[in-house]
Amino acid sequence: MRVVFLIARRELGDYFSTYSGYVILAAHLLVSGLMFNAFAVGNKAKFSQEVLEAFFYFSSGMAMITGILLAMRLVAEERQVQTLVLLRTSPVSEREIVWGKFLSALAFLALTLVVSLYMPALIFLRGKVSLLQILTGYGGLLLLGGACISITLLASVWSPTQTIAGVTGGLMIAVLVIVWMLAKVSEEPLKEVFSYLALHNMHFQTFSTGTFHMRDVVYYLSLIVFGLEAAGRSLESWRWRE
Amino acid sequence: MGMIEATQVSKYFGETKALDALDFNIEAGEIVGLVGKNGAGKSTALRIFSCQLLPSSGNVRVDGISLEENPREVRRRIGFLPEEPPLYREMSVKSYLEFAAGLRGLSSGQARERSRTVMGETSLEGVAGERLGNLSRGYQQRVGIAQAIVHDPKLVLLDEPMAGLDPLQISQARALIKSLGKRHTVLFSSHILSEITNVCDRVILIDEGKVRAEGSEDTLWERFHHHRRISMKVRGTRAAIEKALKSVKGVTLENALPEEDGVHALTLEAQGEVREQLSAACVKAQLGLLEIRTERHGLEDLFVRLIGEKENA
Repeated sequence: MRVVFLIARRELGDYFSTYSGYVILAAHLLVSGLMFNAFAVGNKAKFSQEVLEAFFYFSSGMAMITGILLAMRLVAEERQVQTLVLLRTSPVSEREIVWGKFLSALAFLALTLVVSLYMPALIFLRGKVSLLQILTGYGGLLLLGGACISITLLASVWSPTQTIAGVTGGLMIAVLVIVWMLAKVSEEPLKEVFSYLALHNMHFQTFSTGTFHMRDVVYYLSLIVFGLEAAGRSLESWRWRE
Repeated sequence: MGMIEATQVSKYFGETKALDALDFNIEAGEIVGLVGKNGAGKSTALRIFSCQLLPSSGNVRVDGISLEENPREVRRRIGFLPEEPPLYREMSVKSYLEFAAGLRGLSSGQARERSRTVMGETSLEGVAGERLGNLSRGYQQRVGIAQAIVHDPKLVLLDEPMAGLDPLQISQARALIKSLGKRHTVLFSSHILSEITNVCDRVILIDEGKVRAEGSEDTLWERFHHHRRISMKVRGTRAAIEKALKSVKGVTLENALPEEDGVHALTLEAQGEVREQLSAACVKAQLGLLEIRTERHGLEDLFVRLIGEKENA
């Protein structure tokens, strides 16, 4: 476990020493702020509950995009600049490598979410929403973003460059997002399967209303563990595939 | 028990055979040079020994541990420097070495202590706070070596450690590798043979994934040379010199350069040890023999000969 945090700490430091972290953070804040004003607040009177739901709706999109941006470089970049060999020749398992990298990206995502707290804080101060509702929404954002990081991290292990990793991860996530459309036009039992797989519509929206179901938490955690296990196994397979 | 025991190790990349039943042992405490032209299989062998690749067939044991069954334990015992040092360009030398030590299981206190020690051993104290990306190639290579030894491994594997260095840096790297041999078993590869002369206890020549020869530089030379080159300085006329040399069997005059006072600098190719016969022939022909010596061929010559012999066969 110690080595997982060691890898995570180094990765986290990398976001700031290469300025990529600052750029992602600034872009996230800028776009979130603009969308908050344009869509959540808008120009007509709304209940604070509606404003908060709208905030979480567009923030979920931001969390997904930020997750992709943070994760696409995690393995592919190291492969390109040939630093991954340090990790692969150290007494560290492939699982520890991917968990360390995942935790760093998740911690950074959490940071971007924390700095966006001023927006729901405004709603909290000026309207009638509960703190628990805000915390639940943020929990959902973290789970959704974590799932996107995990999927893109898997794509990063598969891809030779971070651009390809970003595109591959983005496509995989897009498929999981739009799979709810398939659920609409499918018969049982596929309808049930597609509904359950839908990354956003079926599992996130309850969080934005301040409630959550255990099955949604289990869904996101399963997706995270699945992505990381698959990434670890793929990395391990390099030993006999390369 | 050897430090590396490679038995019939083969590696295929698709249809391409990179290693072909590679077989050798390296004893603890040895400094061994793995020599071969580009594409001979040196890097593939080192990637297998450093647990990055699995062999397609055959067995490798490092310090008695199978790298197929227990790669983690093997990794604890090795330090590896690939051809391109694995440096995080934004990190400082000190924090990078502490990170590398932590990865190898050292506590933060031990990591700090060992980093200080290896920075001393590799003369990096002056750049401890510098970002790795700002360092010269020579310094980066030193940091690469420092990360390979920061956890005091039993076996140090260095892939082309002198590639891209200038002559002064090569000489410093040779001294550093030689000093590593006091505490570690060292296996390093090179395709520039002059770089490893006087550094290794033993040389393993590989070509097309096979061991073509192994032994100390002297042993290999004694075993494989069939011709030797002799240099002489003789006072006398060219005709008299040629006549005298003809009387010695198996000698071919390659070159005769006239110098001052009727002295000629001769270069001969001879089969076997003929210096005594040459001296006797000069005395008999009343020529003045000023100097006679066998030219020592380097590894470069030996390698060219070995590969040449194989290609001519």
